[in-house]
Amino acid sequence: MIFSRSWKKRKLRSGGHLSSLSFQPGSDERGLTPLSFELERNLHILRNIFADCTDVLFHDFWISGGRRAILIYINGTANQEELNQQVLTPLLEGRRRSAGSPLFHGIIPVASGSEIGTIEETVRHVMDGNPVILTDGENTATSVGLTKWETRSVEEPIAESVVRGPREGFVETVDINTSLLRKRLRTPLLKMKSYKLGSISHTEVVIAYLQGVAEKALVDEVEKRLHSIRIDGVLDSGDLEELLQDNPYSPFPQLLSTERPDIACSQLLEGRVVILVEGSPIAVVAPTTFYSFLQSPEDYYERYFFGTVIRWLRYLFLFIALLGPSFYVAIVSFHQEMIPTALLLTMANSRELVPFPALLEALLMEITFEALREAGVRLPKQVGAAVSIVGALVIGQAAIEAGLVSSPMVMVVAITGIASFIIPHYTLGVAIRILRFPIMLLSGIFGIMGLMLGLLMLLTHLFTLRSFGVPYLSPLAPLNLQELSDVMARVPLWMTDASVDEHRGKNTGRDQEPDTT
Amino acid sequence: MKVYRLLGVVLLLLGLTGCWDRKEINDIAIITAAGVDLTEDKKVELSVQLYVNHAGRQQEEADQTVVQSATGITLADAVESLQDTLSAQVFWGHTEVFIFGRDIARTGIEGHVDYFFRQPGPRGLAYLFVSRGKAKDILKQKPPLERSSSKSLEEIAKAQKGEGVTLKELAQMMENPAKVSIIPLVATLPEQDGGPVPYIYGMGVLKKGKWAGQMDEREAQGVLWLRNRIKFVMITIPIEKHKGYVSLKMVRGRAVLSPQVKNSKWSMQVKLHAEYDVRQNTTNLNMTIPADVSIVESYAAAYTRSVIKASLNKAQNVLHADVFDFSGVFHRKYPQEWKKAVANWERTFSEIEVDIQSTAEVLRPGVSNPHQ
Repeated sequence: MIFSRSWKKRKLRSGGHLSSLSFQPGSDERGLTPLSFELERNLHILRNIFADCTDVLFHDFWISGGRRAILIYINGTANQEELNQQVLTPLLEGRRRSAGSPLFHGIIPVASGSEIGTIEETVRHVMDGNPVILTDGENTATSVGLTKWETRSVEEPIAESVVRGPREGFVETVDINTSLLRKRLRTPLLKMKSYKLGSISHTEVVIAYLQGVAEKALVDEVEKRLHSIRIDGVLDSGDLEELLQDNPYSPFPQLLSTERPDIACSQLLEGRVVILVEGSPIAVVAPTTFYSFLQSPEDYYERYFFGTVIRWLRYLFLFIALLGPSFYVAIVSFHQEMIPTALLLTMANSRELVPFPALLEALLMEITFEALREAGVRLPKQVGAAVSIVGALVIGQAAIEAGLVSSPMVMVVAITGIASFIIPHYTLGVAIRILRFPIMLLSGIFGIMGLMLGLLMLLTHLFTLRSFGVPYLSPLAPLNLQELSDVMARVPLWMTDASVDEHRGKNTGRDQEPDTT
Repeated sequence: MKVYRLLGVVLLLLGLTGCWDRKEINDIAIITAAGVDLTEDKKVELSVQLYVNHAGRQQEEADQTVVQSATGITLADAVESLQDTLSAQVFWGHTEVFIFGRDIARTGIEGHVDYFFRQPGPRGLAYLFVSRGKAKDILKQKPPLERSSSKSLEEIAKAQKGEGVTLKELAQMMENPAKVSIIPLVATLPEQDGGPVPYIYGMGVLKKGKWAGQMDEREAQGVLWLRNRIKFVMITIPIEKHKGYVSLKMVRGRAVLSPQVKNSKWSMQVKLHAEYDVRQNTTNLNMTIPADVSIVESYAAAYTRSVIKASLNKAQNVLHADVFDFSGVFHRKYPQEWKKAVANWERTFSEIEVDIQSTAEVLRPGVSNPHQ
């Protein structure tokens, strides 16, 4: 499978890693500065680097035995209690030990930590929130794994809530997110590779995949794309999505974003790669197809009948959301013979008073609706619901009575609005909403032919779009009949490879065979 | 990038179509029915029934349609004159009914049908009629039940008897070599309480588009039978022996035509079969007794036979017009013989011997028996 056919490397903003810190005086052949045995020398360099960082604290103390040591940590990120109890106390009061042996051997009762030998590593560890201890007379520093960043608790994701299904959502800390994945897939086959992206932000990015299920070529491609990113700061998974996608000009999302660990795990089980970004509660999945955006976890947690029917409803309304107003405008402006006679006569009545041609009316209403929706996002919660309902109804009614729009048009806009809400994933919903407008313009100028033209152009684009090499519209194009069943309907679990043991439910009275998986 | 340039060129080409033919709904004059008559000075008078828009005005008691007329040398000429008087563009897309006056039918409607059939605008599935008097008068009526007389006529034509003839069917009939077409005749019932009501009273026969004669209801039924397009007619048969009438509603009617040419003797065997439900029984027969039902069946078969005979008589002996499209039937079975005979088809047709075999079956005699 060719993955990087359409992806081009992109260079962005200021590149380079740790540019401000390299080439200190005394750097070795790698450009890194080793720690010296003299504490003062190390301190001098470090204080320079951390000048004007008032939240980086240097705590001077004496290890038992009379040696001077410095504890460097960031105020607010180190676990203060643990630091005092588990680190300082044993060091201050503990028994003597020989110089040179690592502090962990018998002195500091902390589970994680490491010995570091260069200035740059010291800075990195301090910046990652780990307290670092430098001792006089030693050329290594000890980094203690006692970070305690403030974080949100695991809550129900707001944008992706379900009636039935787990209500856990990812949070902003990547460690907690990986633990949420681990919780559900308790196998060593779940691999997690960690990277640091961003020359200034040094954001931790974790790739998760199931070894043996995900294609090696895919994982390699993801890694390759990550490696070629040059950026100063990655703040959200959205940044990463933009940098990793195949076609940056397409309105369609090429990576699935989700806030739910159960969706991420189901994608992992299908052989996809999940990317978690520190600071973002939204995980990004590669590769993805068009149909992933039309699936909701509820389809799978509820019975298959419900899932199938709702899925068909979604496909129908997808077309309505995209083509509804265009179809109406085209028919009313050019092809009145297609309207049933009774309806046409009623429409003629209601359109009599409207000064605008149908296209203009449609554009006016649709733009107003979009503005209303966008404004509704920023409304405070208490006011939001009331204003949206009242606003829509009243404005619609008032507009009709003022003679600005006709009632069939309000109907069409309302149904289109509802249809666009039915798309489960926001990113695709946005794409459809925006694409509505050029198609509306085309159909208002050229009639049904324009609608078809717009649709053809859109379809051509979709058919050539790829997400990490996977055609965007598979399994429909290219056709893959086995996988098609899950797109057209929600195939019940017992029809898939999952099987149910024959003896289930039969109580033979004898002991069951032990599970040999 | 080359693709985008090409796309740009294509889009510019499409600019040639543009939206110059965009028409707003209130800029079109919706014609629901049209009628063609002959004026005293042999000009064509076109009358159209227009839908009137009542937005913002009183909805109650307001007329939904209005009739406007214009004259011209040909139909197209008349349409142009009409357009001159209308504030909106003439729109044929919703014309459901076309009526030709008897006077113009006498001079031939072929040319006028050409106007309607040539453009894509008028509906091919619109129903055609010939009126007893002037078409304009039928259009002017406002029946009580429907919004206009055109809707009334459309519903009647569709009303499952199989009588309605669409523009498409007429054009096809006029194409076939016999050049005989049938077209329902429409007239107005005398004033009822709600207003004048249009209704179909028979079938007109046109030869080469010109009026040749008419067939009454019974003969028209025969035509429908032999063309195998009879649908849900209801027949009322007198049974004198049992002092009463039986009304039967047809459920299914089928005719099988078997042509035969032997020694230049043309004959046609017609097998008719019908299935009925009993709707009313005023005789002293008992519909729950199979023997009685058989009596009704035999009467029904005889009735159908007489209908066909009457129809054949009119067509062969009076009108000399092949209204049943026997020509087509023979053409399919005996193409060589037909080719030789087609030039003189009227004569050959009038001499075709028809052997009628008619059967009837009562499907649902009902469960009531008032003559206990």
